Amino acid sequence: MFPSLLLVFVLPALGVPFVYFTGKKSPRAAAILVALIALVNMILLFTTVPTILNSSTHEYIERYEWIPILQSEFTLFADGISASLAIITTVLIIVAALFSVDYMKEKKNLAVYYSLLTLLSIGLVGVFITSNLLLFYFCLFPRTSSSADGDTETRTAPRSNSSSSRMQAPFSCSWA
Amino acid sequence: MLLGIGAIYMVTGTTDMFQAQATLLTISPDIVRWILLSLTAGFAVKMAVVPVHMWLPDAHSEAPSPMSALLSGVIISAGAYAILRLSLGTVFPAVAGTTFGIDFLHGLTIFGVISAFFGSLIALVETDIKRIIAYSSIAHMGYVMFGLSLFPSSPIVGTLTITAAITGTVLHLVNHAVSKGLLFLSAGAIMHQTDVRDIREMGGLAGEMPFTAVASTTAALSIGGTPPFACFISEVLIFVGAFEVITTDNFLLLPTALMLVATVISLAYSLRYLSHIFFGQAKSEVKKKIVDAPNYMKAAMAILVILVIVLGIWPTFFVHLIQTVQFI
Repeated sequence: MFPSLLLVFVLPALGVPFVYFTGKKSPRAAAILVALIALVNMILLFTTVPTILNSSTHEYIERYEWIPILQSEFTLFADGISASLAIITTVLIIVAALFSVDYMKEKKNLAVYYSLLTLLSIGLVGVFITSNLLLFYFCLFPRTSSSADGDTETRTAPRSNSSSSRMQAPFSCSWA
Repeated sequence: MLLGIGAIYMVTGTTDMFQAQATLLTISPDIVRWILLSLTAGFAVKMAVVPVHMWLPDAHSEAPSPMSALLSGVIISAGAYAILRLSLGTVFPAVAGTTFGIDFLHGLTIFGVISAFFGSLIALVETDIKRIIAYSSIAHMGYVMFGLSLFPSSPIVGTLTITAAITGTVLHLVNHAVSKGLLFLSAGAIMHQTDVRDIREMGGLAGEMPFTAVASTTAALSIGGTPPFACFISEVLIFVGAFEVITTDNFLLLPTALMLVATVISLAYSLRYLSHIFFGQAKSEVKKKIVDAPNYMKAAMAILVILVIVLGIWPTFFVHLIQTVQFI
């Protein structure tokens, strides 16, 4: 069986260094590379749809050996709910990358930004396509912090006194 | 959350949620209750429902708009997905049909209604463009929580075909992701082009930024639950599911009525958002010459505009896909 869901994990992981070095030369090219990786992931996710719709269990499952001492397999699965959410996630990653080309172009460290976006995409999609609780937890808690010189939101709103106090933090993206 | 996952491994000896489900049916309900509560509380934080929503507006304020689109579209949806898949799909069947199980679902209903009202009412008075959208996300997670609370409460024998309410809830996660993603991107375009984020200092931007105005209007009307945009059809499915459940559970009568009122408030803050930004006279605070968003921004918004309209008119693909799911 073609390992579609495994590739959904592996492609962005392999793509991170390529995105980083591309981003050093051309942030726009890095953004397009991130979007292309997400597009390939979307196509890979679509390849599971016929199995979901037509098989008796309505599930697409891949199992790989992972941590035998915990009897924990690297189980990747897609059913109607998880495939829907994973597909729409890849769409949002594509548009976020494209939108960033102009929105972030005055920022520095964009190679890091696009690399982290690629890394983040593993967790964003991964949470929907695993039934292993450990892997689920790893994917659910992506914590990404990027920093760039200057502060994005202060630049965009210097005249807004009412909300200026909220805009002093440097460009960051983090969640716990 | 980690405590709940660890407890599942401790009592079932497996880290696979489907294998764990079968074992959980055979163990003491006391332990299952604590696992259910701990997991749901943890996922609710991720989902940003009231009263554990405080992090979301601040996170949106600090994040750049593309990240806000992902944050509101996907990250909080993951919390809702986790409640559906793990709390309700894996653990809940072990307490289904008990008084605790019914009370648990009613508790979700109450938190859903409170979130929908709280988020909508704050969005109605907030003036920071991104915080309005953030509070709107809290309101919409209220709808989702309400939809999740319509999960069948009786013991599951054999397989359970997915209900209209759960189909609507999952579809709402999809539709909310594209609609809110579009709203955040268009807000980002406005902030980028005007250097302003207080909606009181905006006005009359429809003439200068027509493409962004169309994108914002599409997104805001969808978020407001207006046909034929995406969120309308998923909200209808949730309410159809609610009316089905009301016939067997009178408790849901008042919450369903309140949720219908909340949808009206959603439309109110959506229209206020549009009227302040795009209509009326341009404000003097915006001094620089304003042009519409650059091409890459337009391309990103165009993709989502198309999706918001297509999903509103033809949700069939995702509905078919979601309805294949069976809870065992």
